[in-house]
Amino acid sequence: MWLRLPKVTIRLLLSVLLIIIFLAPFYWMLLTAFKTLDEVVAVPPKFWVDKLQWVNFKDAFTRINFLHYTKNSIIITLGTLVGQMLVVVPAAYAFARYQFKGKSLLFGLVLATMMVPGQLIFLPVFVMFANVGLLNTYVSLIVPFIASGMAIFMLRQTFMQVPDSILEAARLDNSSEWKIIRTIMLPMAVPTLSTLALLTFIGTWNSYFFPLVWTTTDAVRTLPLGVKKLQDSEGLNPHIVMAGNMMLILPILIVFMFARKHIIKAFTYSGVK
Amino acid sequence: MTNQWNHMKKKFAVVLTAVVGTTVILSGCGQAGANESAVKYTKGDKVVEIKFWTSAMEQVNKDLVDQFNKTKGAELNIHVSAEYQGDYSEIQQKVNAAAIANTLPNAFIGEVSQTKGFADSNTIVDLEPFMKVNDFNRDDFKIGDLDNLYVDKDMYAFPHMRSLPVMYVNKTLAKKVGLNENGPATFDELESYMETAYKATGKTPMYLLNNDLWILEALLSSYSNTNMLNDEETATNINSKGAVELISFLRDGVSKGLIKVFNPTQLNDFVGAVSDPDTLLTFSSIGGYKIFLGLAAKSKYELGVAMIPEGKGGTRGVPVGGSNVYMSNTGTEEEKAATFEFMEWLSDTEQAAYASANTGYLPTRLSSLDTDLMKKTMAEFPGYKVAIDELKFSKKRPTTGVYHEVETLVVSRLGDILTDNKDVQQGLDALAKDVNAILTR
Repeated sequence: MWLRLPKVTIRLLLSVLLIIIFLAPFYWMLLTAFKTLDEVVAVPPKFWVDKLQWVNFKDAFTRINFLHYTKNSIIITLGTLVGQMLVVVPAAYAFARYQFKGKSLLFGLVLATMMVPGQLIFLPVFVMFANVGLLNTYVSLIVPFIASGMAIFMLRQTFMQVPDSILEAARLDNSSEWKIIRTIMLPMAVPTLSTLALLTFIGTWNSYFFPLVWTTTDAVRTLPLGVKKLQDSEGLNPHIVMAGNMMLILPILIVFMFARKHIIKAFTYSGVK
Repeated sequence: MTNQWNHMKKKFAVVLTAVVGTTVILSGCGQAGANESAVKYTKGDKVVEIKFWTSAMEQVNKDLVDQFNKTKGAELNIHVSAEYQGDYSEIQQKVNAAAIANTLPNAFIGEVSQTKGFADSNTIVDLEPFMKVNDFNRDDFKIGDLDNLYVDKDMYAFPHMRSLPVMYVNKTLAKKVGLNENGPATFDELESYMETAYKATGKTPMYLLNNDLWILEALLSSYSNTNMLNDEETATNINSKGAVELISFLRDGVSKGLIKVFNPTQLNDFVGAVSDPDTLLTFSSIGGYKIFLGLAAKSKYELGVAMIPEGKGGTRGVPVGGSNVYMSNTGTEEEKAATFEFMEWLSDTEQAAYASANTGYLPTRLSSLDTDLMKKTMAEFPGYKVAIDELKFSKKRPTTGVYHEVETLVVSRLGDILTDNKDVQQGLDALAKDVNAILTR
């Protein structure tokens, strides 16, 4: 017993250390968002606040058109999520359950899209959208991200884990393919779908590069660009920028709280197989 | 065999056509604006819409555009829409993408060193024909080095906001520890100046933010009369004797605790450091003058502005920074003529004074200095006068289109060279090799 105690203690200490390492930047952002400028620039730095400065949030909200950027972020994130599910689910099902000519090649191409960095394709896509008059539209910020290679791959792996006998039984009952997807595949893939939805949500909500390079007006620009604008216009006022950042990540935290259980389940489920 | 030979011939013909085609396109790019024609704007019945992309100091640019639309724009039936596109690097990316996609705005703001790159790629137009048909007098622009407006002998840009690196001095601390509150005049004085403050406070007296090669260009020029690139811009001087001496000087300061260099991600730490009443000096842009004044006021010390110290033999040199306004190679003759009207108005005396007084940047016209607004501003903020005096020593920044890549590389490597214990010459030689590879690519 005495030999095990230090191990437990060491494990506990390491866990606490890891938690501190991961939480420290977040704590610092939260702290800065509630500080006055004097407290932000204080030497030595202060690790607490005397009085919460809610006014920083009000400033961040009013100095940029926060509602406009938030609306755009919501439309683009939800559009990408819905569009992705409509494309990814049938594609993954086809790759998992159908045999057809060129399947391996096509699946290889889907996987290959994961290897191409976005910075490499932004220019041709920009030119393409410009040629068809879709620059500065929601479409240009949603459509390119609907067919996600990563999502097709993950969902295909999940669909492949469903036993053939279940599908055969459903087909004997004259169930259509759509009904099989809807009533058998999707309910069994809820953890994977939740994980994918969360990853897509975080990726799209936080996306900075593509909304930056594919927009030339404020019409469809998203919240990360709004917060960057706040930084540009505020100069050296990091407390207001951090308040903007807090408001930016708040939806992600809320969604994460709800989807957490499913994500853990998704990875556990894959692991068992 | 014959088939193979025919196939090879076809292949060769395709490659040859591509090479010739590319050469023709590129040679066309190299002669940007050579045959540019221009017409003078005449007011028509319809409103001419002008798209103007802005960068940096968004609010001031927006205010100026609003003023134009209410005054000269309304009078001439020209309407300008301003759209902010991010910092200088971001707007450069967007302009390059828009040039390929044929979606360029009519005019845009870019950093001063971007002129040649934009001209070489035929993205912007030569302004000479427009100045000729409009009898535009450029003499009033003579405030600091103007080479960054030109490609060869033709003007391709109007100056918008001008900045210079300066030395900010904590006058309150200098007085308290018995130093000259105007700051050190030479690099020799700088070392003893910092040592005195260090002995008195026990704290690092000078902080630098390693995010801007522009400051290093000023230090190189002033310390040892060295330019970052050779005259042909085909090789760097970053490993020359003068550069090694400067970097050794800075590293010596770092090792003695006299200088601390923050990397680009430590902006908040830098802000905290320069806000400390025990911090004596920093080098930064005059464009941030009002921000530094604000920080000093909060920390209850008096802030002064001094020129970058001079080197041995009285060498001085500061690169001109800030922004230009460019006319894009797009639109009808009427739109171009209207764009020139807007650019002319934007660069005029009152507008240049307004931009300067509301930011910290310097005005771009001599006549702006005589406006009531600038007189009042300079009386209230004496640092402007120091920076304007420093313009005598201003010089152009490198103009090669790949300089942004060079900047990114040098900044990322210099932080290590300043703080590690390796041989400075060796570190800079390795850096020079990589920079030269970019320049000769």
